Amino acid sequence: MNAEGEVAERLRLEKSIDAMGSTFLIALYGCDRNQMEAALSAAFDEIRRLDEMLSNYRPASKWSEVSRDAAERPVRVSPELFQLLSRCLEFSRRSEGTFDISVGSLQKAWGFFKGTGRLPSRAEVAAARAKVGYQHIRLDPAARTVRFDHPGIELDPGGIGKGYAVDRVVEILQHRGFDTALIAGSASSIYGLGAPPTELKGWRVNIGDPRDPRKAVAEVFLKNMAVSTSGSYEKFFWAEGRAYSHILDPRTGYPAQGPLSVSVVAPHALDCEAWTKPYFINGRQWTAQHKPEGFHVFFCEAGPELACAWL
Amino acid sequence: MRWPRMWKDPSALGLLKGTAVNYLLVERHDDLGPVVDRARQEGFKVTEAASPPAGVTVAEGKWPGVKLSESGAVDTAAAGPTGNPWVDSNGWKVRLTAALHPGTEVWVEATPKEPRLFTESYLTAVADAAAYGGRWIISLDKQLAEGIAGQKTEALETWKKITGAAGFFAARRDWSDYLPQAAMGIISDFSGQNEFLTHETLNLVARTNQQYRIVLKTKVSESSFSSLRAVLYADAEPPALELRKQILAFVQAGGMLITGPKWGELSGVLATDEHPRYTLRTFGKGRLAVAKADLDDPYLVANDSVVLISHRYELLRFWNGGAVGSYFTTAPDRKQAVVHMLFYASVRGGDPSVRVAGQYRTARLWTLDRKAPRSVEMEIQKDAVELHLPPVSQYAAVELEGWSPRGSFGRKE
Repeated sequence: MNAEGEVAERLRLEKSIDAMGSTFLIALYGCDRNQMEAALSAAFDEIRRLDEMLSNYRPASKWSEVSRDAAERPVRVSPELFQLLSRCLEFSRRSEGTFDISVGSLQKAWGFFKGTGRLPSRAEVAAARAKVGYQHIRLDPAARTVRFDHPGIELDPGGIGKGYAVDRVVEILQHRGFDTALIAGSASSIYGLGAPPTELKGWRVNIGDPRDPRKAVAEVFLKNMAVSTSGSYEKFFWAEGRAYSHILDPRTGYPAQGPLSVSVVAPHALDCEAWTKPYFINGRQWTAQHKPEGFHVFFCEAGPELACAWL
Repeated sequence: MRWPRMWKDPSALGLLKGTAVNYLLVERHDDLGPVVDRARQEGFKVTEAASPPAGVTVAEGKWPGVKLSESGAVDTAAAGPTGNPWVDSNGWKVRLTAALHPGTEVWVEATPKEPRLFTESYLTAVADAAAYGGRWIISLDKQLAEGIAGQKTEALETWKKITGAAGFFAARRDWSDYLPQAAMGIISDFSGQNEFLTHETLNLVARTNQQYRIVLKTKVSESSFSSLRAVLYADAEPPALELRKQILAFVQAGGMLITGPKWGELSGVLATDEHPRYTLRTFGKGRLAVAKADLDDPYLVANDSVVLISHRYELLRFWNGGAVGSYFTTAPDRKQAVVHMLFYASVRGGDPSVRVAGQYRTARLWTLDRKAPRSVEMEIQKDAVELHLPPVSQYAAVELEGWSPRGSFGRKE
């Protein structure tokens, strides 16, 4: 309501930012354009800050410093980064090593770091695989430091960065009094805050058909929920007559032979993003046994016909 | 520019003083008569909004920018593993219209749908047409038009930026004569039963940042294939005998043909590598990739083409680019190259890098907000340069000199 006691007109603003090698888009409903613009500005500042902190492309980022120095000495990090790394190790333990932020050297061996993929030799994979292992990441809560007990470990933020940023933006918008927004880290990490006036069930999100992502195989309505999707059908390369996906199994060092795509719907974007890959790698049965209450998982599997279903 | 209906006072023409706006499209209304009269007196060309002037072809476009989903449905998003959002761009349409209507100017008709847009959205609209050699018909949203008429500071600032961007491209009109660099040629008549597939393929190939050349099948010559790695022939009917010969000569010399089963009788020897949707054959020094089923899905055609040609032949490759579009051109005298980059997000968070195939001595960066170019950090590699750009928004162009490309040079579409 405005000062005259009238119900103010609901405005909708939509703005996007390129960051983390991706594009974040926020659609925000509110009544005061100035406050809305200020909230979007604060959200984008936060995304920039996280891009600075979590980038493995920027040598000066804290993330890069940890990768570079933690095998030599304990690296002290911010409480926020310490907590995020702790969450990552928890994901690794619970996923039986199929989620692992220490896959940086494998990503490089397969040419997915600043590249479009290449087929490495067995020896190269073995050498890179030897530098992977979340067990080698030692966190000291008292000193708030990170230490690697093995040389060559390189952290890769690819599996958590966007999801974490989306969750942080949700917090910022809520803190500023907004209750209706869609926050999308490209198409792969999306959070629906409240429900838009156009659809009271929530923000409509179409899950793409892995064989033609412009078509939808399912729709979900996000109301204070997030969705993330991982799939082998978009980022891959061909070599020696077969396709190699960018989803690497940290335990083997090779691309996972999983389904075509996995989507996870859960209350937090970080959880969604982190769990899509373990569910992809471990498959439907493992997922059914291990997914927490309140998580909804959508599998699309290849075959003569596309088979997609919710767990 | 499309003259806002509410600007009835001829004094509003003063806003155009010193800008690149020289043509007014005005709705036929009696109350705009004084504006039309004054505009003509002041040397502006004026035409009715519904009828473009001679020498101009109008391309119906979409409002360019990042979208929640391709459908454009409000408050509806698309979920998938991609790190790239859907982007609407009119660049491919400008290029195709220019190829189909040589000798005419291409104007893009894309009107704002939102009641009030951000300034950067307008800059994208200007650049998305102009980078590809077209001109966006400036069309203001209602609130902006009102704000400008009411002399509101913010609205006037936006207006200044819009006309500044238009002026930037007007001052570099020679860039429109530059020739597109391409790895892939797309051969078609782009009409009739081939229209949907080929138009959408152009749109989607552009989204991959694969550099392509439009080749009209009625105008194919030997030079149509110069410097290309591959050609795509996806028309519903097989090529005429002469065209078939020309394409096969290109393949024999080392190129690749990507086509569908309608191509007709196949030559060559089956290759050992496999593709789920294509049969691969070697022919002379080159390769044939023939789809196992009819080519009817532009999404698959576009994405398969990029993979079949191989990422190693990409002329441009972006890192941290975000929602980026690109157009790589060279001057007719071959002394300069320009890489046009369109950043469709409203705001830029990080610093993009781009790898440009070929070797160059100097690079300078042009952006809409500066009158002079900036130097840009350039890392020289074996057969390419990698450019590390500062955070740039909406549009940037890198002008490269001292060119020594991997292949031969571009040609007019």
